[in-house]
Amino acid sequence: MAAQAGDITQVLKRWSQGDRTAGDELMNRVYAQLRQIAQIRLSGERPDHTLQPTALVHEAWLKIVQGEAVPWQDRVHFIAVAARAMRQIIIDNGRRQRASKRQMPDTPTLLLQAAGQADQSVDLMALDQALERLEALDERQARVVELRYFGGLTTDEIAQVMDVSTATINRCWRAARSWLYLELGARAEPESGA
Amino acid sequence: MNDTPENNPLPADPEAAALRLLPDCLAQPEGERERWLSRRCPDRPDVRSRVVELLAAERESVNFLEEGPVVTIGPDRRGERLGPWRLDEEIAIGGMSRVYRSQRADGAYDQVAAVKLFDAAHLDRDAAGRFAAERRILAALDHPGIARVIDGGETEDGTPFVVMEYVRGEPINRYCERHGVSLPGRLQLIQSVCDALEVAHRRGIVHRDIKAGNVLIDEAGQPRLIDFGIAKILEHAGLEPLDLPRTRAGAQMLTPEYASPEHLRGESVSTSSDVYSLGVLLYELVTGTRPHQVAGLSPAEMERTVCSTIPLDPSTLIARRKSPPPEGLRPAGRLKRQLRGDIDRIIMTAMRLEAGDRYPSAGALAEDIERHLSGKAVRARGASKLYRAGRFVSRHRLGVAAAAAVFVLLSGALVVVELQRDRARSEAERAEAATQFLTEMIQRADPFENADSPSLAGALKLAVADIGNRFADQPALEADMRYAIGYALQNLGEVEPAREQLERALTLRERVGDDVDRAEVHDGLAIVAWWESDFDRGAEHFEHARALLEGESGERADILRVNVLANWAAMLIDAGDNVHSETLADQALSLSEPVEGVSPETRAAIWSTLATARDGLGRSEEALAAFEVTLDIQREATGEMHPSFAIVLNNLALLYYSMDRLEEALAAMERSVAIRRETLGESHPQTATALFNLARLQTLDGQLEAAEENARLALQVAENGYAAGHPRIGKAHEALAIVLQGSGRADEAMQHARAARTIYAGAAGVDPAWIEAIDELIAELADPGGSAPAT
Repeated sequence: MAAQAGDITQVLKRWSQGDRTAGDELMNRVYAQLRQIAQIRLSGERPDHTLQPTALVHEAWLKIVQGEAVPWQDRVHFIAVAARAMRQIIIDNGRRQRASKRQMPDTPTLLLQAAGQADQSVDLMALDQALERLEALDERQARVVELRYFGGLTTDEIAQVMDVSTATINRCWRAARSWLYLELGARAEPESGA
Repeated sequence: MNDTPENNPLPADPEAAALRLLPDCLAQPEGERERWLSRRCPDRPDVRSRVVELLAAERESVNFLEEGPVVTIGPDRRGERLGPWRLDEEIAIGGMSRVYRSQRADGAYDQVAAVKLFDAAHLDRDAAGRFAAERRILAALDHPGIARVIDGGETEDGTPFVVMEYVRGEPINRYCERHGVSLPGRLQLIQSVCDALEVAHRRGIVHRDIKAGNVLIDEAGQPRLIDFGIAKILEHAGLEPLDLPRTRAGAQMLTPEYASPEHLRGESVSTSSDVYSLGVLLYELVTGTRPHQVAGLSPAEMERTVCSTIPLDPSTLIARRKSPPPEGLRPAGRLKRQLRGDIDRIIMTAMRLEAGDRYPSAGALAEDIERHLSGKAVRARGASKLYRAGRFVSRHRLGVAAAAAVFVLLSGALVVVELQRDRARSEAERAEAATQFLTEMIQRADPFENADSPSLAGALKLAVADIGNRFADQPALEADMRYAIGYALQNLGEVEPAREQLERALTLRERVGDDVDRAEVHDGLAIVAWWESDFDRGAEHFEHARALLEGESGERADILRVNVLANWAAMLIDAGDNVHSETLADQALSLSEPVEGVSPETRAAIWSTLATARDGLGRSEEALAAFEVTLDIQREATGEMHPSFAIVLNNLALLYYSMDRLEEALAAMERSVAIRRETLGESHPQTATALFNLARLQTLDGQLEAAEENARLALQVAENGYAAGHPRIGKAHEALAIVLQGSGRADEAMQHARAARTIYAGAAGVDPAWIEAIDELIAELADPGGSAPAT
């Protein structure tokens, strides 16, 4: 298992140096790992269960490094990749859920919803689509949202990954959040009757 | 800033252009933003108006997307019926439950409710019984400020659920933010919450999860508590609500930022725990910030943070923070003044670490808020400087021997008695009676003499009870004793009993004493107020003392006059008023010159105050001169081999450093370290402070090896001398990081910088400026060479 840890460190290093094939490799691995953990969790002991994707990401990291000492930067880079993978998984599941809602009413499905108060809840599918639009307008801001919301990275950690100051990340986050707030507020209800 | 926006053409697409501008615009002070915008893109009105729209959204969206997503697996229950209730829409989801807005479907009457379904396996019979019993208790709780429990049971598949009154409203923090509610308005909202809580508490029902999200403000502007007692239902159902979230994103079950120390420790929770959480909520409402920053901490770190640190007073937080206060509470300067004193004390009393030290009930908290709102003095003591210091000592009790404290106290008290004799107040037996009394007191305090009473403060408090009888017909002596004991108690951090004794001494002396006697007590009372950071009240007492001493002659009056001014000047340094402090210190100096009885320690203290005030006023050369004098006097009084001398040298070195006189700074700091090593020993925390100061200076001087050696030693000393997680350990990491950065070892430096960052983030009461500084260091280390600003 130690070999795997060393391995992932190598891939991470290549990736952080800008090697795109390493990025794909990493994404595939992380995606597989996350799905596996999620699957185990979801088929677990309790009939109802909630999961925090950001906790899963963290768990995936622990599984992959297997207690090896790995430079901390690697963790941050890993989570940066995992945030995208997590977003992908959540959205894939959401699509499946919508597709199967009518056909198999008795099967447990994934319910996707953001935590918090009623009026604060976020439609994750809508958020994903809005993020795509944001990406086209301002890639950096979209990335900050992905890392923070789906990856659970702190502002400091995001600053590390993106190599800019914490203050800049904070402002980008506030800017992107305002934009999404208007965007999602305006487009809240189109599918709720489905 | 390396990319000046002016050199960057804006995108043609107005939406992209607005997004490009928004972050930089947010960096401007709020009043400047529109002007900045019209300067930045004068010819793009469409872009400008979009940015203004986004700025407005920014103010509303502070909590938006703050919590990460939660994914649930389980049957989609929409449309399902539970008894008479039809589940309509999922309105909230948490770590352990989901809430549906529901409609009464049996046509009996029209009612909307919130149905909360718990993620639980089948309840066994015992658990089901407790679940039902708990529901019945809650259902009997009927108060307009509390969302009522209407019904409950289990679904066909055994999922427990509770039906609650549905409240349409928004969390109190967002309501206040959105409506720009004023400070009194916020206090009144919390008062109403207290009233509702008090009713529940009287019936023995504890909320257990008070937080902004559970206090909704309804459409009529009234606060409504939701989820009352639900946490207990969870517990009874065997659902372990204390299972802390593993990552920062998932603070779902128990909100650690609001949870009381006893709750986090897993001990039993009482009405007092609700009072604590209310204190946290009030803190958040008046500052815009929660007192403990626990984001990113492990459960153990969270527990340690909440259980062992005392957050900054709200007014101090406002004074130190750069970002503006919440809407409705601006500007920061005014808010700081409004919070300082009463509101600080109210909040910090509600948030005391020990349940027994808090308000005895939510009602008592409401009453104190009422007293404040109607301009009366509040009952609360808050978290005074001495309380903070006392907490520190109690956590590092290792070597704080009772014997040492006894010695310090008694030398103080006996000096007072000797003074009385000097004053030749006729009766020789007075002094004797006093001495005997003190001797008995010592025996009570001495753990060898009396095993039951190891605490000195305790012994003093016991002694207090005797004074009335012992000196029944000797009011002058009774006043002397109360003054001496009050003064000693103040030294021990027992501020409230100290005040009581001093006030009684004052009453007696109003009757039997002279003006100098009364001035002496006012000086003591001023110091008590100073310890509580109540600078206004402190100034009143000093003023009073000064007025009483006017025209008085004799050495005792002369000495006291100097002491009053010296203490006053020193207090003003703490209060941040350097100008006034300097004036008073100057007066103290000129008054002290002809008075022989003024001790060298007092004179050195005055000069040191003077130096600090001048330094604060930017007059370095004059500050330097004052430090030189301080050194001379201190040397004469104690010799150089004394910790007090080392402290002066340390301050002098820092001044030299700020004046760019590195060589002299180094020399002074080296000497300070040497004295501390000699007098305090290698492992004393004060030695660590001096060591890392020295290491930083050596780095600047290019003595990298020596610097690293000292910085590592400082870290080692700090780690041995302070409890894990103490900010001073962070400082030592930071110093080492700076030294390593100077040696070009960025990776190692980064490790220590991050360690420091973690400690600062985890310790409450850390000056936000420290965190800013460490963030800058981390940014520099992450981007060596790059866009590092030339300093």
